[in-house]
Amino acid sequence: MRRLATDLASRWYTPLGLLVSRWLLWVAIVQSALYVGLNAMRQELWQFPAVLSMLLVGAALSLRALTMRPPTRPQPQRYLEATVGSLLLAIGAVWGLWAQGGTDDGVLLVDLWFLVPPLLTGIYALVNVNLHRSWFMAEHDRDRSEAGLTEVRTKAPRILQVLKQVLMVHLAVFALLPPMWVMLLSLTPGNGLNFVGPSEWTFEHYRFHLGGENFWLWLRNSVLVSVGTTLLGLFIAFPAAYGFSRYRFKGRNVGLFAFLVVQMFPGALILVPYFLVMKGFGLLDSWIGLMLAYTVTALPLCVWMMKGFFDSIPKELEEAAIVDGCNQLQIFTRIMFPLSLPAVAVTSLFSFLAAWNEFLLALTFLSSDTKYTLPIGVTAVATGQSPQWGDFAAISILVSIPVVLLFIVFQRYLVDGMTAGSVKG
Amino acid sequence: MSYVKFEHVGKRYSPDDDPAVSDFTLDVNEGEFLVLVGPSGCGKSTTLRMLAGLEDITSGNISIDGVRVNDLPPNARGVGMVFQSYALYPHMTVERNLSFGLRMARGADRLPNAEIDARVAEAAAVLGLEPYLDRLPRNLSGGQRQRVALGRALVRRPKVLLMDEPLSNLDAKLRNQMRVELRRIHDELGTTTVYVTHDQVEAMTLADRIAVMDQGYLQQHATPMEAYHHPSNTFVASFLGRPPMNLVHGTCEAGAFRTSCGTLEVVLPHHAAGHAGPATLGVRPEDVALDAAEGTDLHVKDAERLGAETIVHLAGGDVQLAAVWHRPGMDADATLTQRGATVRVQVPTDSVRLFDADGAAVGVSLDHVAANAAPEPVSLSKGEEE
Repeated sequence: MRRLATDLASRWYTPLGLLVSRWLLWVAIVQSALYVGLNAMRQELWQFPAVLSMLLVGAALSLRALTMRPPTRPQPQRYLEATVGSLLLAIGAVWGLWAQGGTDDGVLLVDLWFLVPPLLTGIYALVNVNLHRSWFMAEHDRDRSEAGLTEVRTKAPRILQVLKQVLMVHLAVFALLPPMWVMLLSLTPGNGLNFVGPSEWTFEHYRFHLGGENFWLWLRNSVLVSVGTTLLGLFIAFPAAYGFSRYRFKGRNVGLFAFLVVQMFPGALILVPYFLVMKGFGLLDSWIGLMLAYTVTALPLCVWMMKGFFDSIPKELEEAAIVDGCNQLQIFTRIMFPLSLPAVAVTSLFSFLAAWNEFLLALTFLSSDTKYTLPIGVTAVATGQSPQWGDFAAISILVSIPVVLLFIVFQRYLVDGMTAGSVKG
Repeated sequence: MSYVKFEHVGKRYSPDDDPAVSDFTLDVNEGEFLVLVGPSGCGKSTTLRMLAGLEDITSGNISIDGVRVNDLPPNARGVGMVFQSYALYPHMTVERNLSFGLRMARGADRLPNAEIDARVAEAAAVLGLEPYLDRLPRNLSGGQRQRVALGRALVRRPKVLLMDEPLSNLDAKLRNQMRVELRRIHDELGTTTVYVTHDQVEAMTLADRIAVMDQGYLQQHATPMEAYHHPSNTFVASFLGRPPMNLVHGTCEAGAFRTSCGTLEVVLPHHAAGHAGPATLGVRPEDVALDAAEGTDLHVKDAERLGAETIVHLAGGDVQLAAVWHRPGMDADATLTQRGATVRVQVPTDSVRLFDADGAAVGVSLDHVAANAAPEPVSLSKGEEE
């Protein structure tokens, strides 16, 4: 009679090759699912429902078999599932690429991006078919299982690390493609949508903006409005959050809730009331009006974030300051403000960004092009009779630079501020 | 050195609530280390915070050195406070933390910078903080933070030093060390100190006098030994000491105490002999004589072996008693501590305390409560007791 794998090591032994297949299968499933979404939006090919089913069914089948507990007696049906699943995956991916190749578009980068990982996963599993067989048929004995467990423990973390890095890069490329595209466009001569090689790159679009008057005018407007919004928001949010955090008064809960409710209204809904209010106050086409509107929009989140932060500062700290002779203002300036710098940084950045990128209100309120903020300016370049794509790309990059710089400067605080309130220091 | 007077002090957080502190009257003498002790929610922290000026006083008066401070802001009262969580300013170095209070002073109270530096150096020396003056609190250990918190209170040369459970955030070993240290610093500086704790060990070891509180009322104000040996009521009796004083319910008649089933009968000492009717008998576990020649037979329910002593829990009829067996050797007679074993115990007459139906002490101990206005009677009461 054949010895069965019933000892402790064998009951916990999954070979490294199987583990790698498992990890790859998860990626394959996610990619196949995303590909379903993508193809729903593209022209319909008759093959695709079949291709996608093959991919998903194959991956799911393999994964089901491979994630079972180590078998203690032969499991031929599971072995079959794993093998058929891998085959489906590989064939589905190849078929998908071939079908896409037959269309007018041909095989695009995006198809490769989605279909190559499932293909590789299927091939990897098929290459390891011998390993699969011996495992599913419970042929591993105790010595082999123990050696295998050691191998898994020593090598698996490193392999997993590498796979994770590959996955990250893979995803990062996907996220970076659109900005890269804009970047390339901004360096391409002419105002079309076609690319040229590095030898012909030009800064003419940047020169156009930096040399002209409009850009600087809009930049000044944007900086004024954004900085104004930030300071005004901070000036109001800081004491408000402090009050909400430290005092119990009538209407406290209603107030906090009202802040949230305001935040939940879609911007377009309050556009008309805003417009009428601003018109009534004579604040249309002015920076003050914009600043007020932006502050109102950004305030709820700022107050809530800072309140959360203040909640994490123990009250005893203030009492110590009182005993040390601080008055309320000194507690504010000497103790609370320095301690809440991370929260201040985060909320400032948030207000600044909201104001810097805001488009709809600015478009509605501002009528004279000397008062335009940058987002309105950007659209002014891209719309009209003949969109200037090169100029548009260049100004988009220029608008993003201050934000990127701010993020780099505030990064440290940002991380601190995000975790603040969750952990008591 | 300064003294503190509480006169009928009361505190209500809101008009609908029960008072947190009621009719609290107590003197803290010059240079005295007073410990406010009681279970959580007994009003001890509220009392301290009223003295510090962090809570308003609803009724009564608090005075420091004869000056009514009810309406003075905290920094005008000349108090220094150590908080339970230390409450060090996280963004300031140790040196800044220590000097912050002095630097905040304005006008006539403001010391020259050289004097501030000298005071900080002095406090750092007393507390062994010199190597850490440039560090931030987050880079200090728990014990070091505790010292900084103490130093911050001390550099202002407070009339009264207030401490609110300062040791409860430390681990057991460090707590013992700091307890000794606190006592040393107090003896060195002689600052009048009010210390709040729920830990009776801290209360017993640190205090010149302790004030036991429960449900907002002062239960007893006496030296630790006095409160231990002559508790003014059953609450104090059961709060101080570990294991707590045995309390047995029964009735008194003709100079003897008897439980309702008659399991335990004790002849009352002469100061309590006149009492008649329902009563509670109190006896410290260490006073219960184990394995006595005559007395009551009880059986062993459980035994806690602590090394230096073994606490034996006994029961029989309507009586439950804990008794302490001192210095049991390793090979000591195990039958005394075996579950179910029968042990003859005796409750000696001269170690008995009697409480009336309301739980108040009967006889001599009440006189002590009245007599403890002056700190001397430590030795007096000992003499009377023996």
